[in-house]
Amino acid sequence: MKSNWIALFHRDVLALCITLLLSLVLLFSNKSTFIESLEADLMDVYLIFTSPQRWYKDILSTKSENSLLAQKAIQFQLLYSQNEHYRVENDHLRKMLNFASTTPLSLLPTNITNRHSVMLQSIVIDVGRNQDIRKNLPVIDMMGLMGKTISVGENATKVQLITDKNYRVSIRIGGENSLGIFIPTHGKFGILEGVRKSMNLKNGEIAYTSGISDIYPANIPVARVISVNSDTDRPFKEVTVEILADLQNYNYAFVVQ
Amino acid sequence: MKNNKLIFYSLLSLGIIILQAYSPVIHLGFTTISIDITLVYLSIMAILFDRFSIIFLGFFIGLAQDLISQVSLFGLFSFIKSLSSYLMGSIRLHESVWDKKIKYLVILLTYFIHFFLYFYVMINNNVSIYMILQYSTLQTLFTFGIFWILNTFIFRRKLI
Repeated sequence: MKSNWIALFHRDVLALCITLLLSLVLLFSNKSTFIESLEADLMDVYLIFTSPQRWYKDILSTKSENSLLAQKAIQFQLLYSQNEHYRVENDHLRKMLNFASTTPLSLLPTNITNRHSVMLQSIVIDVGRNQDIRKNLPVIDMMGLMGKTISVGENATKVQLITDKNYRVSIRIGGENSLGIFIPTHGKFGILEGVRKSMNLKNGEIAYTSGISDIYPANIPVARVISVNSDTDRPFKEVTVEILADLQNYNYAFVVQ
Repeated sequence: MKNNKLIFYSLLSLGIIILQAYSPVIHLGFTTISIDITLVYLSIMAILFDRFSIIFLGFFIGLAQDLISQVSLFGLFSFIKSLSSYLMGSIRLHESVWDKKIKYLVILLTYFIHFFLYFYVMINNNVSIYMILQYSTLQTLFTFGIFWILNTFIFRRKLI
């Protein structure tokens, strides 16, 4: 009896499945807005039913995606650092361009390629005879005098820095434009020799190139006065100055032509 | 004898379909409500005959109703009529187990499922689900009333 009931049940279910299947085939073969709407609803239901499966797949793919993202994050970090460096350099170059356009001097921008020398305080710049560079041309940065060219190659030139012990430059200072000689002492400091005792000189005043030498044109800023001592037996003041050019963090310079 | 019976029920089914085609309709908003004579007929047949035959009868009556009522959703009535036939066919299978209330409940639920599916596909674009439920309930009660009247006054409560 029981097996008979089950057989009847299965027969009915089979009949139902066949008729429903046929009906669905007929129904979905229609092209109408009702069917499109029904299909959209069925897709929504399908998405709801398959959401656990998608969740499971997401979990599996998360690990690989995570490592990939970490890799990308590092790449972007490096790229960001590089861009940041370019931005700083760009700002600096813009300032230099601005400086070159406002100064009356004819300036040739250069890169500093080497900084240290055992014998003398010098740097190497990437311009030479090919760029019409000669010996004894002044080299400046945006702040002031850096030095002068001492040996010139085809495409590179050695520059003697203002901090070198043998370096001397004639300057003018104060309201009276008194003459003097700048002599480096140590680091970024130096002294001015030959400044008259009678001259009124204050801290913070700037010493400019005098223009009387063949090498340096007039009015290039050289150094700033940081102390003045008139109580000496000598006929001149003892003036201590600080070099204006930034000789610690330089990358670029200008050759005055 | 058997052939006579088959011819009789075939003709009866055809008559029901024709009657359905000319049955009056009430226009309600986006849709129309009409007496679903074929569903009432299927209910009676499901109680009187075995489920297997009724499923196919429901399918073919549904196809005929699709042809006479709406061609744009051809297959919809055959689908819901087959499903309704299957559900109502279980009344005969559990004739000695279920009491009158459960049998009425099964018919009522089947009618509701039938009309809900119909309205869901027909007017889902235009109205909210609450409106569909409202229409389905109204049509269910309307059709169930006809079934109850037929059962009580024509069949003298012999069906259920």
